[in-house]
Amino acid sequence: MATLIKLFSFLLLSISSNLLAVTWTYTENSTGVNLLALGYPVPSAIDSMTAVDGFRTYDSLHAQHQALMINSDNITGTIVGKTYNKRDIWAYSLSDPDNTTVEGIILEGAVLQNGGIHAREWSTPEVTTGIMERLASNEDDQWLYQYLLENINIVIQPVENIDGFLQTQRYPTEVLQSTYAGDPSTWPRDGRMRRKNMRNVDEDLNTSNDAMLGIDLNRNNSPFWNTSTGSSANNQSLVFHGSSTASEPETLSLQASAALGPTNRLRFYVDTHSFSQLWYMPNTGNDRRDNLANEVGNLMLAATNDRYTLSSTDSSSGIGSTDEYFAHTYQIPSYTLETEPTGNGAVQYGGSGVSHDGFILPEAEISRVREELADASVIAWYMQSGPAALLAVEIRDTDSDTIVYAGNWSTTSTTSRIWTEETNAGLSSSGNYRIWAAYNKPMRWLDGQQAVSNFTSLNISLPPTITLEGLSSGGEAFSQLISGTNNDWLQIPGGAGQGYLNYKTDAFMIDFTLSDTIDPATSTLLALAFSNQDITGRTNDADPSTVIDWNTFWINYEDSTGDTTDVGGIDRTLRIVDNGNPDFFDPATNNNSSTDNNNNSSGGGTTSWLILVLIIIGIIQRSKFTR
Amino acid sequence: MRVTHFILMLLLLSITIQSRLYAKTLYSHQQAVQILNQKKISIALNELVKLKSTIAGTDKITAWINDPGLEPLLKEKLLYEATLIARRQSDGFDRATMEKLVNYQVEAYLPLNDGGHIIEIAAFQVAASAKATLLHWDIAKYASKATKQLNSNPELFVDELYELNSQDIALHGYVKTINEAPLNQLEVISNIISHNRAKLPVKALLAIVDKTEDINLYQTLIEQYEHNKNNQSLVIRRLSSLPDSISDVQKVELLLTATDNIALKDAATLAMAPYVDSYNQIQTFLFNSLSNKQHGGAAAKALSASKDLLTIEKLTHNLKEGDTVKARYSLLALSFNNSFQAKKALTTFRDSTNNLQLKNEVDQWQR
Repeated sequence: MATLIKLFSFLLLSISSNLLAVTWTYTENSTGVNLLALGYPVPSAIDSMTAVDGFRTYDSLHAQHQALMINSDNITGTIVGKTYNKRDIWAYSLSDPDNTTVEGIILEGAVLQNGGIHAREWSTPEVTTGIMERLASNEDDQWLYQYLLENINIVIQPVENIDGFLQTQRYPTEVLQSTYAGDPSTWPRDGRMRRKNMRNVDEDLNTSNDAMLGIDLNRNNSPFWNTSTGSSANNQSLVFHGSSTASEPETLSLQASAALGPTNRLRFYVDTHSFSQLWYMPNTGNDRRDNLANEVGNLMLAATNDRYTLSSTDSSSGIGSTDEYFAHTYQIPSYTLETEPTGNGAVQYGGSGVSHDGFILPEAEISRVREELADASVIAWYMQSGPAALLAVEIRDTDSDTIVYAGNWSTTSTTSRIWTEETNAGLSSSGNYRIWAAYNKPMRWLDGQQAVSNFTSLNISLPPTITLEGLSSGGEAFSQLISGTNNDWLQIPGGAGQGYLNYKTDAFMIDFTLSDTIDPATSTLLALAFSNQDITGRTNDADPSTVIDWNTFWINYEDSTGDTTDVGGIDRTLRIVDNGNPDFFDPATNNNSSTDNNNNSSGGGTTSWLILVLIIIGIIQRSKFTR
Repeated sequence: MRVTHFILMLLLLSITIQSRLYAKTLYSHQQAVQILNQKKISIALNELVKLKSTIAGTDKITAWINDPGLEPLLKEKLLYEATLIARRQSDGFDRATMEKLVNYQVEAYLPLNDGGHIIEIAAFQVAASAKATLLHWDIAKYASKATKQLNSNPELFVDELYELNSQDIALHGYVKTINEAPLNQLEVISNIISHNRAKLPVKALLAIVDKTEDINLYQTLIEQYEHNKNNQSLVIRRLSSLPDSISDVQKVELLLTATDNIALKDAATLAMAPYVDSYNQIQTFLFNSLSNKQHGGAAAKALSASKDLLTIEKLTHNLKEGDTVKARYSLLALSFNNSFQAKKALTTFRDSTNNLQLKNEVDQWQR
C-alpha cells in the first residue's frame, strides 16, 4: 500500500509538472489552443556567413567573426571567457596594431559594445556583427572608418550569452508557459523566449522542471546588485540576479573584454538589447559626465532620425545592469540600447500583438536595424574619439606661388604638442593667398555620393571658416572673415597645400585676397582664428598645445577663454604678427584672458589697470605734498 | 480494492495524458504521406521568386541547362542545396526577366530514366537553411504567403485545394521524418504563376509528394499549367543516391558565377560542405575559392567539414605561401576543422610565424 502511494505520488508529480509545462508555439497566422499567431513569418536561424534578411545561426555568426578577424590586420580576436556550458566567449578589438593615434605618442581611447546578453533578443548579435562588418568593409576608406580604426580601440563582444542563444535557436518557435508564481500567466519562458543563461538548465525543452532557472546576466553586476526590486533573489524569476555580484562566467567575460580597452582608456559603453526602441542612460551624479553622456545620447538619437528616445536613470539606484557597472565604475558615457520595436511590440510591423512578439523582430526588418544602429555606434565613437584640434597650416601667395606662412603642431608627450613655425614671411595688403589648414580628424560627413553633407538631422554650418584678426598700429581691432564652400573640404590626398592630411575632409583650402584695410606691415597683431565644428557639431579645441583626453569628462579641451568647459572655442594660437599678447587674446574685445587654463580668469586685466592708476594717483599726491 | 482501482485508473489516466502530450511524434512517414496525399495543396506565393536584375546571370544559366554534356544529377543536388540556402532578398525583377523564366519552363523538368526530373535553374533566392529542417519553415513561409495573397482565380486551381498549414499535425509529423532521415524520395514542386509581378499578386502551386507514390499527381498538376505561358515552373528534387559522376569543376563554377548575389554565392559554397570528401572537383573548387577575399571564408568553413587527412595536408601546405588571403583562410579552415592533425598544423604555424596577430589568434584557437 505504501509503495503504491509513493508510486502514485511520483506519478502525480510527474503528471503535474508536465501538465503545467504547457508548450506554446509561435505561428505566422494559425490560431488555436497553445498557438501564438504573430501575423508575420516566424523567423528561424539561417546558415549564412553573409548578412541577410534574416537571423544567422550562432555557428554562422561565429564563423563570420573569425573570417573577418583572419582577413584583417585591424581585427584581433581574444577568448575572454567561457560560458556556463564551457563554450568559448570571444571579443574582438577593431583597431590598428599600435595603441597610439595617427599622431603617434598620444594613446588611443577605447569603446566597448556588448551583444547577445539576453538570449531571446535575436537582433542584438546581428547588430554587433553588422558593426564589425561595417568597419571591416570600410577599413581603407581614407575617411571616417579608417580614422576610427587608427585612432581608437573598438572592442566588441558580439554574443555574451551563447548557451542561451543556442537554446533559443534550438527551439525557434516553441516556448513554455511560465510556471513561476511571480510571472503573469501569459508569459512565455525558455525555448525561444529564454532570457537568462543556462546555469542548471539542460538543453531539452521537454524537461521543463528547469525551464525557469538561469541567471539574468543583466542583473549580475555591481554597484547595484541586489539593491532594488528591479532584480530578484528567486532563482525562478526572470530577473534572478545570481548568488553574488559577477557570479556568472559570462559576466566575468564582459569585464575581461573591457580589459582589452584597456579599462583606463575606456570612454564609451553600450549593451545591446531588445526591445523598446530607446537608449537607457544611467546618470552617476558627476554632472559633467552626465551632461556629456546626454550629448552623446542625443547624437545617437539623431542617427535614428529620432525614432528612438533617450531615457536617463537615477544615479543613486539601479538594477544591477551592465550599463550601471560601466557608468559608475569607469565614469564613462554608458547605455543600454533597446532595439526596435517600441514597447507596443511587433504591432508596428503589422503583427497581431501576441505575447512577447517584440522579441521576434520580423526577418524583413533586421537589415535596416543593423545599418541604422551601426550608424549610431559609429557616430558616437567618432564623438568620443575626442574633439578636433588644429594640426597644421600653410598660407601660400598664389601670385608668386610661394609659401609665406607654414607650421604644424607635433606631439611631444601624451599630453602636449608644440608648434613649429617653418615659414613666416608675412602677408601683404591686397595680396592673393591660399590657406590650407588641417585637423586631427575628418571634419565633414560624406553622403552616398561623397558630397559634404550633414549627418542625418544635424544642422551644422558646412563650409570651413577662418578669420584673420588683429590690431592696427593704432591699436584698433580688425578682422576679415574667410569663408569657403563645402567643396573646400579636401577629399584628395596630398598634404599641405595639396590635399587632406590623413583622412578625407580633415583639411580645407580656401583662396582669398587680403583686405586692403589690413596692413600687415604695420599691424601689431595679425592672428589666425579657427572656429570649426566637426561632424557632430562640436567646436574645435581652442588650444592644441594641450592634448585632449578623457578622465570622467574631457580634459585639456579649452574654450575661447582658455577654460576647460567641454564646449571648445576659437583657436587663436597662431600669430603671423605677434605683439606678445597673452594666449586667448581677443582683439575685438581687447580681452586679456589668463593663461592659466583651469581658472576663470575674466576681470584680471581690469584689476591690473586699476592698481596702476591708483599707484599713479598715489605718486602724484605724494609729489604734491613734497613740494 | 476500491483504492486499488482508483490508483490504477489514475495510472491509466497519467499514461494517456503523457501519450497525448507527445502525440505529435507518433506519425510515421508513411502515415503522414498518406494524409498529405489526400489533399491537393494550393499555396499562393508572393515575392518568392526574386531574381537579380542582372540578366547576364540568367543567360548563363540558360546555356548551362542546354549543355548536353552536363551531368544533371549533381546539378540537381547542388542547385537544390544552393536554392534552399540562398537568401531572401528584396530584389525586384522586370518583365523581361520574367519572360526569360517562362522560356525555361519546358526545360524545367526533363524526365530522367529513373523517373526523376532535371531541376530548374536556381536563379532565385529564398530564405532557407542548409539543413533539411528548414524545409519545414520554407513550406510554412509559402503557406503563410498563400494565406495572405491567395486570389480567387478558378483557372489556377485543380479540384480540391487545401491550405498547407505548418501547424498541420500530419505535416508536422512529415517534417519530423524529414528532420530525422534523409528525404530520399521527396520532390518539391513549386509553380509560380505571375503576370505583372509588381502589380498583381502571385499564385503558385506547391505540392509535396512522394515520388514513388504520387508521381502522377504532380505530373498532372504541372501539365495543367504548361499551357499558360505566364507560368514558370521550378522543380527541385532531392536525390537518394549520389550521382555516378559529376560535372567539371567548371560547371560547378558556372553555378556560382551565374549570379552576382554575394549571399547566394556564399550559401552555395557553404552547401558544398557535405560533398567535400566525395568529389575532387568540389574540393578543387573550394581550394581555389580560398584566394577570394569575399568568399574564402565560406570556402574555409566548407573545407573544414573534411575528414580526409589529405585535405588537412593541403591546407597546411597553403600556410607556407606566406601572408596571403589563401594562407589566412587555410588557417581558418584548420581552426574550424579542430582535428588532431589540424591542431598540430596550427601549432607548427604559430611557432614559425613572425606575424604577432596571427600568432595570437592561433593561441586563442589552441586554448
